[in-house]
Amino acid sequence: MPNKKSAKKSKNLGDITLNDFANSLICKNRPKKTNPSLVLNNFKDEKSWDEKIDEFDGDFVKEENEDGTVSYVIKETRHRKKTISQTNEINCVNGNVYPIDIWFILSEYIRPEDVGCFAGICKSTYNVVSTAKFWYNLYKRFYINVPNLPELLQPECLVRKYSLRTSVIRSLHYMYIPFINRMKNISDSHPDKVTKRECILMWHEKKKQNWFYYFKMKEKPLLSLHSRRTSEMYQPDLLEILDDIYANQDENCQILQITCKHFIPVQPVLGLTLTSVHFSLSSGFLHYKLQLGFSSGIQSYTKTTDGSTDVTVILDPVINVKVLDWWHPLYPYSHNLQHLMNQD
Amino acid sequence: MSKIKLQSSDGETFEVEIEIAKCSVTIKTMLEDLGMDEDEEEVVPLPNVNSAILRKVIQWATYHKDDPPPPEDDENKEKRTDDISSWDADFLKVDQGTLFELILAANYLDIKGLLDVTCKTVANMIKGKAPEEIRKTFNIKNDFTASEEEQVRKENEWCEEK
Repeated sequence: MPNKKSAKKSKNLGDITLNDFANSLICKNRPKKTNPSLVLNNFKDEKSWDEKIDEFDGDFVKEENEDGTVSYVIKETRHRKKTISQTNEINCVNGNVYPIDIWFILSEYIRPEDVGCFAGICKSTYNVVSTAKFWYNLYKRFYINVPNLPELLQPECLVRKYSLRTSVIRSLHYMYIPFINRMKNISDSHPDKVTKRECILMWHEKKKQNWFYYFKMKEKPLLSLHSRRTSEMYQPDLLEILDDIYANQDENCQILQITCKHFIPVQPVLGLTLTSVHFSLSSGFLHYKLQLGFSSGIQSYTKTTDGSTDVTVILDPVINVKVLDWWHPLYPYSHNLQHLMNQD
Repeated sequence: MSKIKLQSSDGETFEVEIEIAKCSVTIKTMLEDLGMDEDEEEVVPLPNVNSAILRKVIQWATYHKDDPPPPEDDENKEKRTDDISSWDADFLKVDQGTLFELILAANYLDIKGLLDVTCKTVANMIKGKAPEEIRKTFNIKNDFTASEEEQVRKENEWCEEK
């Protein structure tokens, strides 16, 4: 049987008549609809039921009634323990924000290997690392006259802002001892590293007695922070392009360099994606046999059950295989400014 | 020994020997340009430095008053960060906030020696640490979104050891 309260409430339910509107009491507290911000705020405050459930901090509690029956009621818990992730979040949100000046000053003391971590501290440090001054300074601090430094990376050639960052990073891999040692430690690499990348350029050449095959493999890039500023819709003018210190035609690219004993004719695989790699010993057990499977379109993302590919490149006998990042001194590249000129 | 009064941003006045105060190029230039007489009881206001930091700066300048003038800054040279004297290292055993404020004060007052040693100390604390660790060490707010953080990491793959 319904109690009095619920009976009262049910009286109000039903169709609203014209009389209800005409004789309704004026609500004095109602905000004026001419004030859009108030209306919007009211709208924002309205939450869906699932959002309200997320906010609700309660639990079912077993209660025994006077007549001995057991019922479950929802009770709000007063003291909820903070989870670790919550406290971490608070710390992240409430950290200090230091003026950008301090980061400019500190940037002059940062080692090349710490640049990435420094840039990743906060947006101010990222902005400092995005300045031409930072890269000129880094180059000057670590410049040493090394005989193998290419002409285009010499101080007299590093005067323009265009592609400055790329040139300084390349130079550091010739001049900065810890980076040189890193390059030495990279032994032959497995071509597996370049799977799911698209071949955008391929060529071969003969050096001394061996044949070198090069495949330029590009990864689908993430939209970088600096390229966000220049969205696809926006066409920068020439002066802006020339000021782009980040310009790098080899960004997200790696070169797969394969050294072979003899010349082996290779089918063109431009525009195809490397999907499978089989690297095994050659029949003579002295060299290797490399089988590269290239596919196009959707096939490159879904592995077919029969392992079929559009084009299979077989190289045998292979002496060694290297995967070179764009900053590696052995990475073959044309200077970025020359590339820009060629693009008209 | 003639003295000068320096006033911090929170109004506290410090009386220091003029030679010690002059290790700050900002104060030295101010005295020269404004023609402040050493006998005058003028107070030099330093609105960008609070009393706690100014006290530390004066302590550092007093200890280093007899040091030879620092060599001209050669920006074409790699800055060593492992040449901090033991006194300076002990002096800079302060909380991270104070350390950052000392950098700002040294920069404002143009005290090259102090700026150098404070920056080196912070650079040493950054060495080899991940951005998250650095933020935690210095209690710095992370204003990147998760995807932005990933993009910054990707952009800087070149300096990661593989």
